[in-house]
Amino acid sequence: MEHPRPSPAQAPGRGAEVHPDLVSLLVAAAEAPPEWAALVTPQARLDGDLMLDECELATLAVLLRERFGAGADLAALRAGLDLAGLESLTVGALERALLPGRVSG
Amino acid sequence: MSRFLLVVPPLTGHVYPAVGIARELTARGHEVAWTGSEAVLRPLLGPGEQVLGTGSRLFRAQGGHGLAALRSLWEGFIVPYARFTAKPLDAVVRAFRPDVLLVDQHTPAGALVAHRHGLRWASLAPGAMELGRPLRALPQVEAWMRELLGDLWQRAGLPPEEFTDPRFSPDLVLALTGPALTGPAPFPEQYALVGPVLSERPADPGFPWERLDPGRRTVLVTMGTLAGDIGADFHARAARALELCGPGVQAVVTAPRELLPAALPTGTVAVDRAPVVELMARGQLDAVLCHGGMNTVGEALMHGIPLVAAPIRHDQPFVAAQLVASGAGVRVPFPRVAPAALAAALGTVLDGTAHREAAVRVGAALRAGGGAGRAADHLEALAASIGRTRSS
Repeated sequence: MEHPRPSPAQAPGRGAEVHPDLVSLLVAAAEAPPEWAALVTPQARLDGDLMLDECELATLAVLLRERFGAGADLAALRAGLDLAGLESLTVGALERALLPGRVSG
Repeated sequence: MSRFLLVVPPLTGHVYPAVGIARELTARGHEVAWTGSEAVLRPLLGPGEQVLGTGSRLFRAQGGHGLAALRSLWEGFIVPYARFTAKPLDAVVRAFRPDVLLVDQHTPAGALVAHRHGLRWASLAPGAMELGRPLRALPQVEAWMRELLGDLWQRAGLPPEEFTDPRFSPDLVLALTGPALTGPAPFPEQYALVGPVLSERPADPGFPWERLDPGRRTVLVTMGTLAGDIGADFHARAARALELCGPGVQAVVTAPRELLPAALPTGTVAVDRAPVVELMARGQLDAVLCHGGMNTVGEALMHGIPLVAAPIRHDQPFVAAQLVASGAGVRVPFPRVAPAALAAALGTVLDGTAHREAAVRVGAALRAGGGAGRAADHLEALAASIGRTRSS
């Protein structure tokens, strides 16, 4: 399955498109340098583009629940997906599923 | 005396640990044969081992990251390799007539042929991928794996009602790790955690021992199979990090030269292949920077050497997490760790005593697992328990 590669450097309005707290949590879970936040676009796949491994995703799940409450259950979201769904899960899809009403941009 | 057949994939990291077990069995007077790709096995095993070839075919290289790597492992290697070897394995079993098969978890065809012939088989888990269900949080992925294995079972003509997951022998699963890494969670009773199995490897007379500076602390950088831009990018960051560590640190880097930057820190020994275990045993290493592969982590800990793990794929993130939990190392994110952060991680394990002390402690606990000797004990017990059920 082909996926379009994100081009964060050219993405219009980047940074405003993803909830800033979500960006911060992703940077924290990824133990990434601050400039890595530029890669966090709605189109970025957690696996193929941001290259988060299972342990980092487990950390992100904990951080999301701490910040947004029990409803922001990334573990449950991912548990319901098959391999293709997991491979194609994007930041935008995560935001829509877990943070309804908080989506910015 | 019993006859043991070792079924292994054509992957170096899976073959080396089995060598120690094979040699222990042979030393005890048993007959041991290997089966798999002779083109791969013979150079690794040398001329003295009995290899019953199943033919060779090029399978997709182990590459990528995350779920893509998992898909590639199963759809590009485990399943097609099982199909490719099914018939030759059947012929090998008929010819060798083993008492027990020792089957690597990533060569399920070995378990299928054992089942067909009514033979006892043990599973060999050289890594953590099929141990402790690291992907239990993703039930649909686990189901996908079981479905692939179920298809193999069906293709082998075995009765569906007798399905047994070919990764997990109901009689014996030999795991080359120990509770010091896996934690206190219990395993089923047929699991034997024997710790890492060290084995001698072909000598490497070309290694430039004279270039190791005894006045500097030495870091081994060994990242397994890395290729392309992702490998070059990491090695560029690692080289910069080692430079930031200062002149008191010397690196031994094992990697294809094309993946390394043109300028390496002064004194760096860059080689395609290093005598890793010998470097460790000689006390030449102060730290290891690796991908979190179970073999390298186990070997380093057995020698009391702390690690920095930058996991890339498969079980490596889980092994790295176990390493961190044990206190014997630190983890950095492979795709994005900045040179300064990597240098800081190396400094943490080099400068402090806590990680080294933990590495010594964990290494001792892993050694207590018994290694090849304990593995051979379990295999002998399995062989002794059988009623000589053989196929015609």
